[in-house]
Amino acid sequence: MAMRELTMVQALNEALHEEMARDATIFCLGEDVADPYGGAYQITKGLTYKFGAERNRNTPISEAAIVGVAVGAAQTGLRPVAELMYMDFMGVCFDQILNQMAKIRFMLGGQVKLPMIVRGQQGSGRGNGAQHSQSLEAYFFHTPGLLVVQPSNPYDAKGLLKSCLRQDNPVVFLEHKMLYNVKGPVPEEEYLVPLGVAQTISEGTDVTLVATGAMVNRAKAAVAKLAEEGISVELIDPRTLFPLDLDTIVNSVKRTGRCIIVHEAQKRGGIGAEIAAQIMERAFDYLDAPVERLAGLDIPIPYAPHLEKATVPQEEDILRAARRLVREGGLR
Amino acid sequence: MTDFVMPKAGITMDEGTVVSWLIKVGDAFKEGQSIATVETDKSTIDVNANEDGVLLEILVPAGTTVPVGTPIARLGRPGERAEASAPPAPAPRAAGARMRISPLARRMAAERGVALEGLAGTGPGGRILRRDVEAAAAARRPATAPAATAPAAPAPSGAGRRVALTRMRRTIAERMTQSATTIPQFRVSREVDVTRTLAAREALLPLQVKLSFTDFLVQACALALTEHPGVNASFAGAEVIQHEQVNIGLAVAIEGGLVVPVIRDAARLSLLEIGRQREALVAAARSGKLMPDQLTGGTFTISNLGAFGVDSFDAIVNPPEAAILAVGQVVRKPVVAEDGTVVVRPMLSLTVTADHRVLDGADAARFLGSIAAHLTQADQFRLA
Repeated sequence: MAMRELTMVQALNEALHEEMARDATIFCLGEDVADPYGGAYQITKGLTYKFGAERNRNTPISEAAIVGVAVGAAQTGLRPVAELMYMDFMGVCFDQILNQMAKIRFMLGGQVKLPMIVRGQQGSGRGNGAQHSQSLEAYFFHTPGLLVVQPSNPYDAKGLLKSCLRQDNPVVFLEHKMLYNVKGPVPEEEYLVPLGVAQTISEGTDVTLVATGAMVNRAKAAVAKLAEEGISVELIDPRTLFPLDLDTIVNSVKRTGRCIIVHEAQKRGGIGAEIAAQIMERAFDYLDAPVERLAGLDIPIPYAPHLEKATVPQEEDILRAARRLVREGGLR
Repeated sequence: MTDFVMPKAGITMDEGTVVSWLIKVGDAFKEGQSIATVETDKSTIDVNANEDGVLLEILVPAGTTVPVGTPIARLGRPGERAEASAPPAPAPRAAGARMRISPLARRMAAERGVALEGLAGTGPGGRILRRDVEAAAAARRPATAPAATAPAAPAPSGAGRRVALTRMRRTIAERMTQSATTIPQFRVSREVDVTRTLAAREALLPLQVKLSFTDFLVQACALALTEHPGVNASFAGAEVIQHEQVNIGLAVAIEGGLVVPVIRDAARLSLLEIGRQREALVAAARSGKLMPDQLTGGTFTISNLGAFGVDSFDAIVNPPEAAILAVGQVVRKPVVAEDGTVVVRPMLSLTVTADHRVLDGADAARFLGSIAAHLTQADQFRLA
């Protein structure tokens, strides 16, 4: 019998139901997360009915309060899951994330644990405009003290959320608005996805392709087309940005000699830059071409749909880059 | 411009036959339009374009079978005109431009003993890539065994001490076999009266740097190579590459074999600078500390067996160089002077072995003549 398929929303919801049943210290908070509404994206649906209003609670529209409360609760024995309705709103609570959440364990000399998750959706594709379409993982990636998780499919989303709820460090968990309703196989049995382990989606010999978030599905489609053209691609989804599984990426590049990194976030200072630098440091003598980055344009994301689409890498961009890299040896 | 390849239209498909081209060269097409019909072992299918464009060139005509992934046509962007397009040739390097080479290719070239100078790169801007080094390494094995029909040389019998080949020995064996079997070589020799050069060296002995006779040889060759740029060259198939710089390799005998460290840009160096480099390179060679980039890039080689009492010998061209100089020992000999009397002079035997694909007898003779002139007259040497 084929494995059942769930959307990412269903997978995340199931993870919360299962973990909250297992661990009474876990609770959710955020804007409109409580039943009957169940959250702007339905991630927390049914949790109030099953576990009560204290364990799935609505908050005022104050991101600083949401995250601040979570920081306090996590220090005093609870495991909060704080939802930001759009990750773009992190600007409002960034002091809580940057200066409190990321640093408290260190500044208190390890006297407290901080088992909390700030989770929310990011990404473009719905015409939500510049302030509601961003990919902001680089800000969290650059902040020591935070785990940063970015699942690309329902299986990883559920497995990673469960893993995050079973460890004691603060996590920023980044979902994507355009992946919420994409279905994927999710087992009925209990499983976990380990943090800090990349997934090699396809094995290949000609070029290593590293993709994150919504770019993974575009990369998968490109890999299938490239295989027909005789170009063999090794596709890697890091899944967690910190801790980042550089070993898997570097070992792959040492075999293929070529690498393309694709992410939706703007190119300048994006995570692709860090990965490229580390590949250069660790595998310089194995590179047959400079590492390529395909990424969002360095501009605020436009509102008009055709312009919004032109701002982020598409499947065609991945195809073109891979063909040029393998056939002509690179772009420059 | 992109390659349009034979698509893999099925899991088991390894090759396909182009049945017919549905458009002609120069025709424009739209995304999704069928541009060719292809037959596999299972079916006949129409192949569609991935994007709007124009057919620039048909590479595989109708009726031909090719493996999956083989380019069968060249497509251009809409509006591009179909010109006679050259096959993807290695981009020639702009004169004096820095050599572009990927780190991987550089490492592979060092590991396999492939000389980088003269290697054509097929990457962007003429960058040398892994595939270029692999092609060069594969080309070193002679494409056709020269004595394919001759009986194989009898293998030596089993008794006796067996010495495994070191990597150096193996490289020498490969390269010299390749040189001797694939390059038509000839030799020109003459004896040179080196009285004045020896006197010049004597006069400089009180200086800090002890100049060896080799340093004068290097400068004499560097001057001669500058005067005869056709000798400072490499055969490259369809063309001869005349190198910008004169990089002179010195054959140095070391434990277990021979290495050829290179004095770079020798034409611009003074005798003192040549002496310093020669000393450092020979020391590094003898202690096994030469770096890969000290062993590559040579455009000419000098091999000197005079120290071993050899009067004269013939060296084998060191590919991809076009010529090599073999030097014997200085011997005081009776010679007939201008005025008919017999005098005793220090004579040196020089033999140039040349690649006949690049140089003819007269070229080699003139070049050797220049070296001889510099050593005989000793008035062009530059100390500092």
